Amino acid sequence: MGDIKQRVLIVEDDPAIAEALRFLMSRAGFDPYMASDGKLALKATQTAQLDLIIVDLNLPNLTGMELIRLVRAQALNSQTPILVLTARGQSEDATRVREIGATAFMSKPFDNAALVEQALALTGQA
Amino acid sequence: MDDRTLLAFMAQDQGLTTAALAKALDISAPYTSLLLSGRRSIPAKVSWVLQAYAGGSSAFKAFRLTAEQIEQHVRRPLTGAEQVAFARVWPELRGVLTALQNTIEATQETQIVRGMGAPPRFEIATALASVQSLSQILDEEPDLSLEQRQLFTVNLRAQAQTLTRLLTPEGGENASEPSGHSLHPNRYVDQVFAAHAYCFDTLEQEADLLVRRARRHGPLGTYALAERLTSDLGIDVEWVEQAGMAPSSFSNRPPEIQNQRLALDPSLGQAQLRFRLAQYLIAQECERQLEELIAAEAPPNTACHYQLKKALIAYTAGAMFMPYTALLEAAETHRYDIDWLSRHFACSFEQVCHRLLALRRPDAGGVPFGMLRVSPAGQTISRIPIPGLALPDRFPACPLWAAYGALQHPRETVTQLAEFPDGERFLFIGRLCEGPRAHFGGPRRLTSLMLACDWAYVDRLIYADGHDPQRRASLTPVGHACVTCPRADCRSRTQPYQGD
Repeated sequence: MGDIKQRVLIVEDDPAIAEALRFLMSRAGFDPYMASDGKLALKATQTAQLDLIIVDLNLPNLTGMELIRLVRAQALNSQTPILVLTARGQSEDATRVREIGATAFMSKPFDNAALVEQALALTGQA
Repeated sequence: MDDRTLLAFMAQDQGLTTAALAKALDISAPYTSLLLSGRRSIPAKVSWVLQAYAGGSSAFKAFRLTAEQIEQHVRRPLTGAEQVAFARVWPELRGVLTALQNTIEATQETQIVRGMGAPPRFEIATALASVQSLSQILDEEPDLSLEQRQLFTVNLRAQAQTLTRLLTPEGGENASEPSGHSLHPNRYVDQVFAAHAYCFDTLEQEADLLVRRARRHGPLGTYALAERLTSDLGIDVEWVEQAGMAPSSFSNRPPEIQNQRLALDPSLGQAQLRFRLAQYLIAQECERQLEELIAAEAPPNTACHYQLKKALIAYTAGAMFMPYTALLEAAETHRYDIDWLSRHFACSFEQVCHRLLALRRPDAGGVPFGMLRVSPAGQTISRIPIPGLALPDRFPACPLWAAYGALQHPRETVTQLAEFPDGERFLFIGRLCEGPRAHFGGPRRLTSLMLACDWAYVDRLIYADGHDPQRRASLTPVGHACVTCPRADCRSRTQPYQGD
């Protein structure tokens, strides 16, 4: 029986970054799910058990902050690690997202290797 | 700037391959790769060469200034990895950023005066993130498929242009002339075709060969072409309602058969269906010849590459159904009656017009036509100029031209003896071309196509009948565009004259 890949939900509205993330996560052995806005992402978190959620803060329809709050409030995926990627890069943002339930925080631009390393660490594969 | 940034910048700015860079630095190519990817530190010998290069390079100065500009926007120094990433997209940015260097201070002042607030820091950081991530993937992942490499390259260039737009005042429009990297793909194709006098002998020969192969299955129609694809090449041709309009003129990618399967919409008109089958056949059978032709032109980006490939495929399809000599003879005999030629060769009006442009062989040329193709919104889609007649690119032409008149007269061929303010006369032939509807009530794709030729040739054209150049009433006084047209009494003027 082959290994079951860990599922990662990538919530990113910028198509270029989304494609890059999809590639990086696939290459790292994940099974990537994609969502281009907050509402689509929320729907995904309500229907699938995920192993990791990578989320941008600036999202259409539902912001990254709101999404994290809602995910933490529901039964499914309430314990799933959430890695926040943001172009804001302010230290107060890092504190706030951790307060509302995010697990880790990375600023854009990010280093690909560092991002993959972080994703593997959050899913216990490092 | 550290040495690794300098190394990446030098390679990009000089357009050097790893091998060429290695030669310039007097080190081995594998070692150069290691230096570029950061897996080895830069030795003193190479550092000395790089510093000498940076000291004498005005391009590097511009690069450094631009990097400082980004740092001001994101309010922090760029990391080494970001600098390297930025250096890698420098060829995409330099054309438009040259103008930026003189306007950095002015921009900042303008933003303050206009109350625009803080610079678009988030957007710049996002674009920079894409640039860095994508360039790292392209550099460090040797096993990317061709499709992945193309996708990431297209995305990288798009992000580089976004970065440019964000950094340049007025959204980059201040840049003087479009560089090769920012050139619109349609304009690029027009330039390539003009440089070849709209004639590609290799493709004419390929077309002849393809026709002979397809005719083994019967007359050159949809059946023979489909049979050629299925029986000889093992392609599954499926007839699927609304199988998609690709490859339309506005699809981004050239026609391409994937997984040995081709879905076609049987509701397309016969001429379109036949042309489409031929396009797929050409894409399949002439891949090498097409890519060689394209490589010789060195398109500046993927979009231009795709557009050129589409245009060359369409050219070859035209040559298949309208062989040069047969078309020339028929055209001269029937005085370039496009409707007649269209019926005779079972091709659309638009297809015939495009093919007529190719009749320019020095020893057997037809009437030299120029062409303008516009959208109902007045945008120029493509243009093939002729001596003495400039055709508009980024602005609308004179509203009296037949290209626009044809939009008001569907299914009619609008002819016009146009007289310019300097006395030059041209015959214009315009027709609204309508694409098929996808379903009842659905929109049609509309474009207006105008052929133009010098008045000296009009005796050979049926479209001059009824126009008597001796009678003023036969002439339509036109200009090139309102802003350059001095006709003060023109009632169709939409913009004031701004002098030549």
